Amino acid sequence: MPALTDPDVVAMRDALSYPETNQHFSRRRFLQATAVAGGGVAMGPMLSHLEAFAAPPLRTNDTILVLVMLSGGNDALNMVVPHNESNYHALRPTIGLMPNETLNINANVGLHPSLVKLKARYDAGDVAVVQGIGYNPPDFSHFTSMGYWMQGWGGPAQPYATGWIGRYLDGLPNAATESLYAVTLNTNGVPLHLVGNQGRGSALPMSVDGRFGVDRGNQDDARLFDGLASFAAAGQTGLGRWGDTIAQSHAQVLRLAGRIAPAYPQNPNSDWFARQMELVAGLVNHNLGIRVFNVTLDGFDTHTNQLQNHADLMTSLDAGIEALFTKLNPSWAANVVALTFSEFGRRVQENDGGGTDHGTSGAAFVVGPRVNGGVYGAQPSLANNSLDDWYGNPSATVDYHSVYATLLQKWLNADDKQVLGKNYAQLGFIGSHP
Amino acid sequence: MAASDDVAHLMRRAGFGATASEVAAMSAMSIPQIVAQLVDDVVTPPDTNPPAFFSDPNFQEWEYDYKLQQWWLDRMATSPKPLQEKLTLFWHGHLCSQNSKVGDAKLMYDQNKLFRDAGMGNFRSLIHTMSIQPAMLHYLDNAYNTAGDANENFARELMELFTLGVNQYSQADVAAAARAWTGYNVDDNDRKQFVFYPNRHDTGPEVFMGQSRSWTGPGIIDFLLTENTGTKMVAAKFIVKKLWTFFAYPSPAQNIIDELAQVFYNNDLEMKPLLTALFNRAEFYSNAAKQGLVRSPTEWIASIMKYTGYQATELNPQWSMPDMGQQLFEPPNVAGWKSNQYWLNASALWERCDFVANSVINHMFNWNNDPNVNTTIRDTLNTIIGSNSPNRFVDAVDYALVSFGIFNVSPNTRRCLVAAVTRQWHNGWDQRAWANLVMLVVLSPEFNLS
Repeated sequence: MPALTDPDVVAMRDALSYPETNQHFSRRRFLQATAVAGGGVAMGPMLSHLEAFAAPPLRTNDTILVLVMLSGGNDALNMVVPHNESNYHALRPTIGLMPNETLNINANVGLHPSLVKLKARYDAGDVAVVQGIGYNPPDFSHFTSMGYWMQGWGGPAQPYATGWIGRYLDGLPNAATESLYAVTLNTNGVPLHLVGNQGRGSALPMSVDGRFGVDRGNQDDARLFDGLASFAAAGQTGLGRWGDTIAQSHAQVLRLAGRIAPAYPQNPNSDWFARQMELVAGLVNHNLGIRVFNVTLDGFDTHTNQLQNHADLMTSLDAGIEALFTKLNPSWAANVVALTFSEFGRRVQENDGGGTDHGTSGAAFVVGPRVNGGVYGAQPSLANNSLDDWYGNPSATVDYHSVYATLLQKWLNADDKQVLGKNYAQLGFIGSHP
Repeated sequence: MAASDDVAHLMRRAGFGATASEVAAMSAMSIPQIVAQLVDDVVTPPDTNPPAFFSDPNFQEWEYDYKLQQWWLDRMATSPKPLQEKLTLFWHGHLCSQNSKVGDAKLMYDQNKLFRDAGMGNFRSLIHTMSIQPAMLHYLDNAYNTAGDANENFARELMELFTLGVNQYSQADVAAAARAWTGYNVDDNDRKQFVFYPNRHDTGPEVFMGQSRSWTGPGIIDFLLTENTGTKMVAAKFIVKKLWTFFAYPSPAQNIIDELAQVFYNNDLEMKPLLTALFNRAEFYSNAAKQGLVRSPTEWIASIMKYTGYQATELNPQWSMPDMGQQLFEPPNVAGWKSNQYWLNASALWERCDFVANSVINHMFNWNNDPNVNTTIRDTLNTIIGSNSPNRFVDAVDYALVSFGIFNVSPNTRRCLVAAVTRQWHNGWDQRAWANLVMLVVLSPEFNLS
């Protein structure tokens, strides 16, 4: 782990500590900022004999994790509705969802009415619902809070410049040069949680149509690509370490383009989130050796007009998860688990604009054929005397690191303590391993 | 008389490259003479304040932002005093502000102008002025720093990232400096001007670095960079190391830092003597230096523009730069951009490939036969390749290399280029022979090295 005195490390802390004082600072900008910052993590030189973008294909018992980032602060209380909390209805007179509207999974809990397909998967035992998820004390800045989720570190010295998946990648063979272990879609660059000390994910485009190196059908283009690759063919350029690295990196660009292009669906889904999920399925089905995917559904900062906006987002989420599992080849579906996460939940009490402000406790879904379905964690009480004095927020009951610990140990076969810096309680939502 | 290879190297680092005729002309001088010409703070060409597009009311804020990026790239590519623009880029990556937080391209321009006007002057003066410009007041929240509700963001970075480096101060010093900076805010109404509100200033006394005084914000700077000789030398070394990393190569030997820092310190933190000493050092012309830096996206694009003569409005590089990892007026965080491996991930280089193929070459094809588009490189290559000379492929490669400022090509690159253009010449005259050659030169290791 980098020491606190590393200037890059300190810089990341500062990058993640800006209070949200400017509305121009959109969620996407944040991801971009952390993504490029992550690029500053020192990595060893690429060695010429190692082939990047040649990830070993997954074997039949290897596992795949799909991270679904719900950006902006998802209103967990309207996604997983706690009907038994009478204050829920009292504090949300206009945007609260009634028991006869929601898709109820037991006497106390109902899913948002738009989550029809997910409810069916829940009924089939493939969905774990984790309530009360978050961290204490809370931070209400998108920037800082998402930074915590991405870092996922509970150890003594904060590795500010690495994320939990990145540190998981560090433990895989050839982590420093293998760039296809983890990929992110729909982000500008590689976000912090996919950046490790050696390992680092790759950002893949949503479309490869017309991109350099993809289509070798035109002979002139193919000659151009071959010419570019030829700079690295002799092994050494005679221009030193960086000249060699430039030449090899360009050759990798071409290999990457050639390898991933066939995995892109011919007729992409019109829904932007479902399109990402179908692309995930395509990349899994082509077995490029990718173990972790990061996708994004943006727009959860529902300060106004939440009823409609959040319903649209839930519809997209439902369609996207369904698209992922229906487009996966049956032979791969059982190797995939998807986790939704968001930087924080939202205020219990609705605001004057028919929306909600930044809050604390959230909820997550863990989805996949090998998931132990059911409700995990505990919904924190919404009784007035349980809410904090300042904003009326409940305290999270489940540390989000516990979700990571469970996935690392039970699903990814990783040393969760090593990755997270601390032992966290396991949740039982992984049923079996392929 | 300077070796032409040294001149070309100096101009890549102290600028955005030089043409063959520029190198030839400068080689008649010695390196110290060339450096003396480069280190000149008379802003050239004169800066119109602000650039004309800011007064066009038809543009929206996001359009001012990208037009500002274009305006600066054009200056980089065409300035007769390229070190002014290169040093402005250095200060932009050192005294960072991000327009996504500042939210006002005009304020970002004001900061950019300061770096250009004062970046070669006194470092302490630069820090003084930078600290109270609205861009920085907004970016690091000193706009909200008031007595009784101190915000430490700026006070910490002033020491940690702008002047001293980490571990040169205590948390108590940060807290005291933050109180010293209270009241240095922006105008309550338009938020676009610096205003000092005496009633929001904490009059202390605060204990800063062991001194109990009624501190002011500027007083903190004067203490660190004048009164306290210990921190003044720390700052000199801190800036020297960062400058060497930017202009020569990362991780310089300690004696280089120490000796240049002494020059900086002895000259009361004036930049011109320091830059003069830096560009005259033998290590700056070593092989380690010449092969020591990868061109950042900004340097790479400005160089393409310089050698082709294309303007930013013709190539629109601002839309490709975020995916290359460097958007002007948008450093990734307060610590700025890094170097070398930072630029070399596959998705960022993929964007460079696409930019060359889609933007640069498409423009040079000049499909509409626009008489204003410079097609000299294309036409000359076509003439050479279409000749009957037995050396036409080698000649074409050598012309293309020199056209893009590569005067000392490696045998490997030259061999690859000759093979590529020979292969492309498959069926008589071919538009793609020149186009593929130009693309390969721009994507070659040589052109991607600084």
